Amino acid sequence: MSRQVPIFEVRDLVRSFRMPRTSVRGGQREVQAVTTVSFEVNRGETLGIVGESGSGKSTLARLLLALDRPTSGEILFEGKSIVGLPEKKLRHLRRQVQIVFQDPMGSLDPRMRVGKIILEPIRSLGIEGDEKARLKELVASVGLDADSVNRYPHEFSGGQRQRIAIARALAPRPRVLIADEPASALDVSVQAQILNLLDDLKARFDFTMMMISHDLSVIHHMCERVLVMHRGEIVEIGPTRQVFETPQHPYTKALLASVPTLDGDLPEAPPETLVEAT
Amino acid sequence: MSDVAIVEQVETEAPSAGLPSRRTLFLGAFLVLLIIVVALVSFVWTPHDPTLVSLQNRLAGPGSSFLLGTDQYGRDLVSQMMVGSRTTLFVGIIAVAIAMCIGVPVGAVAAVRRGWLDEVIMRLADVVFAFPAVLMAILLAAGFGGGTVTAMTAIGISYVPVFARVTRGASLQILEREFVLAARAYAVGPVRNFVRHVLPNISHVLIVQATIAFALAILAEAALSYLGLGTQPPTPSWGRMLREAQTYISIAPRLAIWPGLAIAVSVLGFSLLGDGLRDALDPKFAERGKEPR
Repeated sequence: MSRQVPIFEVRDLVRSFRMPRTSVRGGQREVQAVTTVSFEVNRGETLGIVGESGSGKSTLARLLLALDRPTSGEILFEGKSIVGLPEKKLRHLRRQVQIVFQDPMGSLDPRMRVGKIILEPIRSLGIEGDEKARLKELVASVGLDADSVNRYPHEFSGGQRQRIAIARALAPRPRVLIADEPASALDVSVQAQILNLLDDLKARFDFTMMMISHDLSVIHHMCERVLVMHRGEIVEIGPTRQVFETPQHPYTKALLASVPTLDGDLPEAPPETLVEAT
Repeated sequence: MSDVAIVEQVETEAPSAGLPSRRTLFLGAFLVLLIIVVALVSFVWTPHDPTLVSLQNRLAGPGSSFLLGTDQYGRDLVSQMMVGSRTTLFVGIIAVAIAMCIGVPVGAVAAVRRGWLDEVIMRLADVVFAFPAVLMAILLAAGFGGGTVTAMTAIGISYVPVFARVTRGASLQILEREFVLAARAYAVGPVRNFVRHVLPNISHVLIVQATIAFALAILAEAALSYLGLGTQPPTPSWGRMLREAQTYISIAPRLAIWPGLAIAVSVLGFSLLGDGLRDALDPKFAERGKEPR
């Protein structure tokens, strides 16, 4: 891969949350959701972010979208800092980075028709062009029927709703798509469809993808590089193959060992590493 | 006033299935419609002039010329009650409008901004909430004189905290939903986001609260008019009719019974309508797509 400006550059990122006091004595407790995290996202790649729930994956996603402010540290998007900027100066980021959430039930406004949902980013960002044609193209590209646009989200199944959410995220033609557990709320039979769809769309619309998941087989299947998070820290980062075949960190080893496999295509970690990791 | 404590009912409880809630809704709607029709008819027709004093007819009993009889000045009771329904509805509408126009935005700001502003707003709301409408009206009447406007304003202000709390509570829940977050990610500003995504999703809670507040406003108006702080003569008002009737209660109890019944029926109507709507608009049970926005 040629050396170019990474699309995202994260340096020493920290996000801590103050917990409400539980007693009069004793100071305020702080929980660090993300602890001094540094990494880069290269243009065009699919980067997996893996870790158990509570490891800071979703907080990281919100920080990258500037929906949350870091306690300290720096985030560069296409070489420019996005930390502490007022909303007005984030327009470029708002257009170029979009997110697909885990729960397709909660991520679509139940009182809006699908067509309006999908077009909302285009209208909100003031993107010019033929709306109708765009909508038609988007709906077709995620594999929905053309008449879906006049219906309401509750008339669709989970998988179809996720397709709507993906169409909405891709509406402004973003350069980065953050997929926060895009398939884990769905039926197993539908999961693969959604993941394959994302893969196809990535090839077609040429965006960079960050795939957040706790499911290692998803990461293995989709991502070129993987970043392993544990308690707010990155414990390992590298090409997926390398991380999966020769994990360095005990946590990664434990994570890989805990995957139930049928065909055994994942390497098995020696049992003693399990003990020291937890 | 303490029956306003149905305040932060964000998630409404499951309706007892099918018919009973339907019946509540229809009965409530029927009673409310009845009052509205009577009020509208009173603009074009009443059996007699409601303010016409005729001493030879004073305290006439119910009969063919006066359906429910006349009061101490010979004014027709039916006509007075018909015109009185106008006052009742008018006061209710304006009072609820005042309460919503201030309460909803204030609650919205508290929910969106959170932090110290939220604290300040909600504590102020508590202070206002602790003030009963009647006390508020006495205060206002001391400054501006009693009257329909004073009554409406007093009732309206005293319901602001109710709407502020309901709006805040319901909004907080919606604001956590991911579609609001997604909208922020594609640059939908906070005001637009609230109006487009939060408000339609809490409208059912507000509609129910408005109906209940309407019922209580009717009651408050009657109470204020009874105390002489509400609608001033000669404009007919059910509350004032009650007050004037009390002198003659031993001679002509019907003068108190009929306006009292009118108040009771209208409060019941709006309360039933509110209860019925709460069940009918519950997003968990209604077919969301076909619901009015």
